[in-house]
This record gives sequence, structure tokens and C-alpha cells, in this order.
Amino acid sequence: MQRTFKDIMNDARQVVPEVTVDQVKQRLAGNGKQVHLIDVREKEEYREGHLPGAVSVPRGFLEMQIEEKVPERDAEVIAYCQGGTRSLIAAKILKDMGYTNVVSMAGGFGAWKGAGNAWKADRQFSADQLQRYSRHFLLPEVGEAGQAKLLDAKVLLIGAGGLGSPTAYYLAAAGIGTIGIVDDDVVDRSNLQRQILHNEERVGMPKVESAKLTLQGLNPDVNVIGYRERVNSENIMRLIADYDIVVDGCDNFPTRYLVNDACVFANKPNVHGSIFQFEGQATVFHPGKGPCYRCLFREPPPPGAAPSCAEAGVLGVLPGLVGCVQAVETVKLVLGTGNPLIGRLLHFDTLAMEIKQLKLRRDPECPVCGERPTVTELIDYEEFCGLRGGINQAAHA
Amino acid sequence: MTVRVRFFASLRERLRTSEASRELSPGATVDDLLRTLRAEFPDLASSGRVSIAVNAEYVDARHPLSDGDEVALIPPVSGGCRTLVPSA
Repeated sequence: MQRTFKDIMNDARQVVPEVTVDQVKQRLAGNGKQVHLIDVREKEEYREGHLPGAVSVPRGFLEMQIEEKVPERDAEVIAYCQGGTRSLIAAKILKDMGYTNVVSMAGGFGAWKGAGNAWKADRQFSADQLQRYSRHFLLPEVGEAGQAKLLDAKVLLIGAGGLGSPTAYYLAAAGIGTIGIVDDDVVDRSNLQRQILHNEERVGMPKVESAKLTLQGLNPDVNVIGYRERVNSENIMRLIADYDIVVDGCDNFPTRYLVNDACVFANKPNVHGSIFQFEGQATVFHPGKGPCYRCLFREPPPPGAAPSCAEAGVLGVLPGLVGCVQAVETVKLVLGTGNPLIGRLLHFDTLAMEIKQLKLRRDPECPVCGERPTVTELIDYEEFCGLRGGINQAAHA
Repeated sequence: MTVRVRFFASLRERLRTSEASRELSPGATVDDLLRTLRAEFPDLASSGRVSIAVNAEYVDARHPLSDGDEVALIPPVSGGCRTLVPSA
């Protein structure tokens, strides 16, 4: 028997109640029970505007995706489309699948919007962006909403050296919209064994300039802002002010303490990485949620305790490993997903290839984030032994 | 009781070993352990603040040790060799 479109619609109306825009409003505002609002239009239509709180399940993917979005068969489901036709057919399919409490919104999004109700437009991605971030879109934990967060995020990297290079590379690739980089150094040939942002042609060029060339070549979406400055107590608060997250990839203790204290004062997460020869450490210091650097190492060593100074070697790949962990943690913080590396320190021993996870705890007597803080302003510690004739060069780990 | 001590990063280099084992009397704390270690490794005494983890958990020096504990001594790690003095 041939069945026409009209027949199909009539069949659907037999089993699917249609509700008006006003009734939907009442149900959504109503009794606190969870209502699943399912937008069955194409993705493009959804992006251009949808009901607040609606979940996108395009009609073509309905049977495949609905059980993931709405596991309970007796849950209250309101389906809508643009005009009320597609959602009626979709709701009929849901009924056939055993969903007992399904209605279709008559008039669809057009009627909703026409009646002056609130609606929401998602970030519009360009065709290039849809391609570029397609593997992120496939992850439910990232998706379009997550990618929009990444593009809106502002991350400040302290140092464009060994640690900062891989971090910056992957953050730019991930589409972190604004990446600030603080480094007063210029590219030296000895950096190129590990500082992959730079290259042979750029020896002598300021690292922030080199970083900008590399990162914007990788992803034109990213706004790279270079600060060719050495971090100190005068500029650190200004430098971090506009950023959501600070990534510490510096190579010296005075800067570490400054970055830590400033992040505690400004209440910003500090994604920490450090390296020594074949060993590295990574953790996230998040004010209020876990320990800070001074909970671990309260004070810099006293002058007499300073060991003799010789330039330490570092395995070139090591900062790649640690810097990538910092990048992962930064992306997780932006997305607000997963279990961040707060209160845990990863220790990498690459010779033994052992990764140790150490549980950290807040020190109630911590001089900066403890109950009775004694460090209440920024301190410029001095380098015991600066390389390059005592000139302090920040951030070229 | 016996505890195993592991040295990390610059400590490993300065003490020229990555681990040690210590016999301690029952009830000994991390502090007691550090005292015996400093006697053997004078460089440890001049290493400034070191963080201590017992069985992968950070503890303070008053923490009591048990037989079989693994004690990790972790100095602050930076990117280079340089260390510092307070300016005040």
C-alpha cells in the first residue's frame, strides 16, 4: 500500500500530542521536573538559533543518538523543529522506540521566536573552522560548545622556551583564541635542541616574535600577544590581569615565586611545569582548590645553602613531555572537563621511564595561601648566579 | 623498622645516589630520618628546603614512619641550574 506524506502526518498526529509554544513555556518553567527539549533540525539551523537548553539531535541521527541523550523511556520529551512538521514525524519515531511521554511543539522554532520568546544562537564557525576543529567536534566532552570556550579563552605563557614551546604549539593548534607570551630573550642556537617554536633562521630574533610567526602560521584563529619583558614584581599583576589561566614554563626560581604569588593574589590557576636534566614535574596550582607552590616549597633556599652553579643540561625531549602535560591541563581547565591535576604532582623520570604521582596538600601555614599569610606583597628574589654575566634572563627553560 | 629513601632531581646528582635504605627505631618521624641522612650526606643539609612524600603523599617533617615506607625527597625543580638568594 502506498502511503502519502499526508498519511504519515495523520498517523503521527494519532499518537503524538501537539503542544503550543505557550504550553512549552509553562512546562519548561514548571514543576522542576527535568524536561528534555530536543531540537531535531539540521545542525546549521540549530546553530543559528535554538531554544535555551535545547539539545541538538538532527532528525537524520535521531534513532542513533536519542538513547544517549535521553536514556529513560518515560522521560518527558518535547521535540521541535522549524515549523512543527519534522518534529511531529520525529516524535512518532520516538514513540515507536518506546518513549512514552513525547510531544511535538506546534509551529516550531519559528512560532517560538515569532512570539518574542528568548532564544540562543551558538557561536558560528566558519567553514575552515569546521574542518580545522572537526576532531574536537567529534568528542562530546569538547564539541561545539567546548570549542567556543577554547576560542574565547585567554592563556598567558610565562616563557617561550623549552616548556613554553610545546605548550604554545598545542594550545594554538587547539584554538585557544588569545595566547599571551612573556619572554625577554632572543633565540640562541643552543635553544633549538628543545625550543621547537624557533628555528635556525630566527637565531637572534626576539623569542616572542619567533613564537608569533610560528603560532599564527599554524592557526590564524589565534591572537598571539608578545610581551618582550622580564617578569618582575612591577609588571606581573598587569601581565596576568587580562588572562584566565597562567602557564608557568619559566626557568628560574625568582620568576616561579612571583608567578605563584601573583596567581594566588589574582585568584588565577597556574599550570606548573619544571624540568631538570632527565626529570620533570607538572601540576596545577589552583587558588582555593588546592595547594600553591609555597605549600610545597615555602621559601627559596637561604643564601648560604645555594649550591655551586654550573649550567645544567637537559634532555631536549623532556620539556616536550612536560609542556604537553601543561597543554592538556590548560585545555581541560578551559573546558571544565575531566579531573584536573590539582593537588597532584606528576614526576617524570625519563631515564627509568617512571611516572610517579604524588598527592599534595594545602599547607595551612603556607606563607601566601595559608590561614595567616605573611607574604602579602610580591617579592623580587635575586638570582644567586645568573648566566650570561649575571644578567637575569627570564624564561628560557 | 626499615624505610626506603629515594632522591629526586638535583638531590640525586648532588648526593650521587638515587636511593638509600635506613633502619630506624619504632616511632621515628620523617625528621629523625632526615637527621640520620644528613650525617651521611652533608650536601643534603645545605640543599635548602626539600619536600617529602611518604608512599606518594606529601607530608611534613613530624609525620611518623612505618616499616616498609617509601620516602621521596624532592627538591624544587626549575628549568635551569640557577638558584637564588632573597633580596631582603
